[in-house]
Amino acid sequence: MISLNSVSKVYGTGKTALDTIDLHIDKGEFVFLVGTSGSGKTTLLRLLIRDILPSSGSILVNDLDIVKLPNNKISHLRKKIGVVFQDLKLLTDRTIFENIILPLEMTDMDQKTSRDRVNEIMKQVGIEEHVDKFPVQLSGGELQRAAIARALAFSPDILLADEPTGNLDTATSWEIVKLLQDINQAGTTVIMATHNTDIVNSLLKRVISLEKGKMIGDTKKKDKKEDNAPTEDKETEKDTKKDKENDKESTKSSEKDLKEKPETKDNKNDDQDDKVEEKKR
Amino acid sequence: MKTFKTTWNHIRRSPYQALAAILIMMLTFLALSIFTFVFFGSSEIIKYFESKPQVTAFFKDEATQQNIDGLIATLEGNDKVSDVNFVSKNEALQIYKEQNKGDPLLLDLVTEEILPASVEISATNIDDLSPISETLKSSPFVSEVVFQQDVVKTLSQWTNALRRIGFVVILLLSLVSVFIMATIIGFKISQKREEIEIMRLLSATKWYVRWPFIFEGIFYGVVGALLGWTIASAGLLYATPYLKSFLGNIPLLPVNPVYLGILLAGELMIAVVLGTYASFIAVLRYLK
Repeated sequence: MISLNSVSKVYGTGKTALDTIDLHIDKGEFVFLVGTSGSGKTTLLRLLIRDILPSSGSILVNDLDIVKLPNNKISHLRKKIGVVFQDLKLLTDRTIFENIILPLEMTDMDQKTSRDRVNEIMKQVGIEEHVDKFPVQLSGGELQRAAIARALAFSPDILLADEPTGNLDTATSWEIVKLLQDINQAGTTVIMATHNTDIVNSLLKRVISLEKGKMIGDTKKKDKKEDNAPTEDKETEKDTKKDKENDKESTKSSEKDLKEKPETKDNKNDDQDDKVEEKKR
Repeated sequence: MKTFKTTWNHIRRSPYQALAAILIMMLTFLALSIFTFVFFGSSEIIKYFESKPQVTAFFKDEATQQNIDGLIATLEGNDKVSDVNFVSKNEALQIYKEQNKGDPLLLDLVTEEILPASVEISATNIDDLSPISETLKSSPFVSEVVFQQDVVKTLSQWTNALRRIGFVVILLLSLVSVFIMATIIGFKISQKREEIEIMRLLSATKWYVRWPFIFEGIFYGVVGALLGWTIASAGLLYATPYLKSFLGNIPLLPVNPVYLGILLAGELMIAVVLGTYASFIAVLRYLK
């Protein structure tokens, strides 16, 4: 489904956002992408929708070679991948309904079918009562749901969610995660970038950890190792448990780091990198 | 259909910019319409004068019909002459009577004997009027030669100058309107940068984003052309009675509505080209 082979991304400023990432995500998986700000999570997601190109390596999404993908096929790729952006990217001068129908307006779908589809998704994410409201009239959780609804418009094979619980309280965060889980159970591959260790630790899903652009952990690889190890080998089991505990510790320390490091600074650096990248392109 | 809806939303949401674009296009097409009227009107006036007898030779009273026929035969054999028309004393009186039918005093004073017989000659080329006139002057039977070379020449010079000015004015106005429209559409694209970026991320193709702006340019051009043409045509219809009395016998007015329709069709085509070109400049500059 998604395959990254030795993918690196160096921005115009010289900053290495991703360093030789090898990754494979199967259809229907729920994957957490964790790491501190500036670790490369957003860059990885942007590479998957061909918003940016990698400096080296190859990326396959649904057998489409992202690097070699001609410009006129980008739109086709983006219909297969729904994205919930970190800053939501909802249009403030349009109603929630208009925001969600926007991707469908770009297709040949007739108006009635599009409207029915939007009503259906709004019901699915639980915001059907906000049809005619503008983004400014909604709460953080409702806005997240609206962004998820828009990402689901094309019934995508893959859903990328960049920090969907970033600015939400605990209860709302869990509601959003529950929604993403439901979407995943319906067959959509979900990749969720997050800082929220409580959610990551509680759900026991696959976790890919990034740090300074390098992949420092992937629980799936460990699980595979466990599967291959002899069941009697208690020492190895102990080691694996230790590893998992260490992982938890490392995630906690990441969280701590996050609390210590102001996020805005890293985001600012990312923005600068993006601008240089855009100019280069 | 969706593209047209988006185009209409773009226009509706920034009415003042739309109005500015339409007004500048209207000005261009108003000028184009007026200069088209002047261009074809002046051509018709010149054609009228050129088709009229350009040299008139009046015969002496002692010239016999035989002498006159001899001269006419010589003229008809001349390549430079396109038409020769003899006007006898009697015909001259009839023309005089027709021209002065409202003044009985003038009619009473003039008899057939007073008026000379004459020959009206049209030249193939206006430059040949002079040698023809010289030939006539050298004839012993001709008392006076009148030719209107100067009138036609002056008129031609004025018309040509007017056409050149018109061409330059239209060219300048077209350039100004193209650049103003490109600026307005470019400004609108800049205003919608975030929205466009979001649309691109949500799978919009480049042309899905571009088409509404292209149609917007065409819309401004077409509406501007319609307004410019309507004002110019209405002005011409309103001025027709005054111009008709000024132009006298020149059969120029009223203008055939078919010609006005052809002008409108031509202007609409130019409007589409200008509108498309202006929006293309903006789209290629701001939506790479």
